[in-house]
Amino acid sequence: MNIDDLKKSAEKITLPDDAKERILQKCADISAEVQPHRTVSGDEGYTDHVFTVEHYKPRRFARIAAGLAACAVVAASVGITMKLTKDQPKPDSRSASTAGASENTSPEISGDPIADMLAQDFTINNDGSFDNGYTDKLSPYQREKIRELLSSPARTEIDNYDMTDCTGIKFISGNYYYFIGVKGDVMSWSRNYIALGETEPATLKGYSVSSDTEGSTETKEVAGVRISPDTDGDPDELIKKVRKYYKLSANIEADLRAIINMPLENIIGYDFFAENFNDISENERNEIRSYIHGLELKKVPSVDAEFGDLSANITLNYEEENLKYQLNITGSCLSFSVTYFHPDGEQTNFTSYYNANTSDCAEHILNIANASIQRGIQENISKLEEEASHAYEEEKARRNEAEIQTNDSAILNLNRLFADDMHIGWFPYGDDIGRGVSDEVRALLFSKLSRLRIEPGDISELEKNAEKAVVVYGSTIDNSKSLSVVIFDDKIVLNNKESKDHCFKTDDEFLYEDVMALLTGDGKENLLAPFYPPAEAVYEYSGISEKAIPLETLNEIAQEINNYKWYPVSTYGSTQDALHIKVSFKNEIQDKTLHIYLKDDYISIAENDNNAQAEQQKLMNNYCCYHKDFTDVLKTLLEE
Amino acid sequence: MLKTDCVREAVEEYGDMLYRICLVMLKNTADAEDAVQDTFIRYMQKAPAFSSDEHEKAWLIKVAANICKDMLRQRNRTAELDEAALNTLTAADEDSHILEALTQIPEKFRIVLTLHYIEGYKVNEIAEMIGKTSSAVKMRLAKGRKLLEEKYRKEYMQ
Repeated sequence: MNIDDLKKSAEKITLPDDAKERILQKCADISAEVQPHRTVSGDEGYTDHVFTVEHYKPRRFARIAAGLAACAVVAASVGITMKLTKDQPKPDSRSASTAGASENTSPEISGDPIADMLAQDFTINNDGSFDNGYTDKLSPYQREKIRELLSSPARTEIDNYDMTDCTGIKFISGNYYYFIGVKGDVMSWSRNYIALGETEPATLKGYSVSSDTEGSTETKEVAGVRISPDTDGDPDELIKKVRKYYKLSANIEADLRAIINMPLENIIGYDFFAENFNDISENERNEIRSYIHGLELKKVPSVDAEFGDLSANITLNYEEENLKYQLNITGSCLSFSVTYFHPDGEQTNFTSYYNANTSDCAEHILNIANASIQRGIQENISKLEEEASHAYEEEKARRNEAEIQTNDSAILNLNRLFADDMHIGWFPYGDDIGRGVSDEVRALLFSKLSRLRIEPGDISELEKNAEKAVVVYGSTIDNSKSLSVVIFDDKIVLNNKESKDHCFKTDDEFLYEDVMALLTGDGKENLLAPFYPPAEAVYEYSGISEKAIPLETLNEIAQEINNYKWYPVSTYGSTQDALHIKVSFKNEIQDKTLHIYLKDDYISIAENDNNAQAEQQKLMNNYCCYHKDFTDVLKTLLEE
Repeated sequence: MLKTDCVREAVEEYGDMLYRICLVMLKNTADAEDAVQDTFIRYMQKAPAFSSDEHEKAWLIKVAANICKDMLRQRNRTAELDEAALNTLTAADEDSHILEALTQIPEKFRIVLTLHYIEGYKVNEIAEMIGKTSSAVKMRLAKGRKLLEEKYRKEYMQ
């Protein structure tokens, strides 16, 4: 396997063009906030028209922002906190055509109000009361879960339902107060028009949310916004009361409460980390999650938080983009905090407090986190050992290289690659499909590669991408050790996976061809046919003048040569100092000479017709048997 | 919010890269496309001012990786490579199963191997992106390579 192929393969993967267009269209839709245009009729006898949305107008925004601020002043007085961050819901562009709520224009609703509302950043009212002080800031995770929950069940419109003590979801956008109530398997949706003036709430106009009577002019508290009738105008013209009830296919109130009551899920659902502790493993994280899920928690105001033993304290954190979640456990109190970092640097923070039913929850979680320290220590020890081993190998390699730099006749040492516990394989460079080698070829390969004279070298990027290269690798069965050698024409690159590559130049410029021949070819047997008279042979080599070889000895030599497999090689190299055996055949029919050159484990054979022109002489055929001492063995035979 | 033209430019520039990362992480073409879409929506809505192209690219990768992690968390994290994703990967290079092998190793190794070997990020850059130390990234690279090699040899080499 060549890890570089990962990039080459991956680069061919592209995002389909139709997917690109879908993405761009989706972004364009979100940017434009286009709504459908259709007409629906309600059971109350009103005909509600859906108008095309207009983009928000600055004039209106300023007025609404003032109105919202006014709401906040009033709302705060009844303990309801509204979301007043810079990313306030934009002015309800659906009602843009009613520009100027006090200008006597009719409100509109969209086709699916629940989906529309759930698309907003809504808040919740946990226990059904409008007047409690715990309107929570929901996390994006919780909102998403609520959207999934409320969008999924099938619903049938019904006439009416007692929604007292329902679990509520609400938000205000523009001049409208939206509310979704869930009680058992019934969901209600309502939208109430709130006319916001530029002055004090006493001048605000509107309808009461709790009045089901058309034309009622009762004054009621609506989310802390005091409204009163406009005695000079006809409320029916100003306001369309909208309220719908749906029977759901499932009882979802309990699920909704579960999502609302578990803001902790937001942080412990993610890969949180514990301050002042090492990386927590997934197992440890799961252990903490299980423990927290098993706690009985009661939401309390901050003044009632039971912190207990302050020394037992742990903080879990999770951050994403502009949000930071923190869960602090001190004693038996869990405080969950969400901080939103605005693009302009401001921060908005919401914190909730929960008392647990056990006083030692911080200690329990600390014990789990402490286990990560022990695990971290052990991992560090293992890592140090591994690094030490790598450092040792690096040092060895460095010393080898240093030795090579000072010793021209350094020989490549591949004992590690061909060690007994190493499985040997090979593949053409860039192929990645490994092939095995027989024991015989393994031995021959070792013999071939372990006698290479080397010197430090460099390999260029161009050379690295050469097609003429082969990788020979070795690895232990458990893959704890591996080493590979990439063989180019006359260069060889060693890689032991953990350390850098070591490149060497060899004295064998046909190294690649010879190795490939060894790996891919079958050895040739019976190179020489037996010799018969009138064959006459002589031999010579360095320091020895031509000496005759008896025919019997010649055939013994031929037999010895035929006892080995010979692998084709590109070149024999220099014949200087080679053992040269000349076998002549001369009679009336032929006059030829067989030249056999032997040097170490190489043999080169050429048969020349003595009557032919020089350029018609047969080229030498070169082979190698990879038995280094072969020629010495033959010399012994010749000298006997 | 960024203009649509800016988003188009970003989709052309980084769409393929993000898709590769998401496909390797999620092993599912539909989910990968959704993740890329969500990334660009966030880019349109929340992208900060970037100091350089590299900063922008790193931000997109970080967001995409987080989205993938969230999606993996919400579904079966051991989901198998779906057929469409498999076809995409094998069409990339019919002779190499290395991508398939990559999708089969655990997610935390997949992301570092992808960022390092496919996208060419250095260890310290990856560490910053995924919120880990350089040592942790090095170890994940080393272990990830080892797992990838083991998976590759076991499944695809005779």
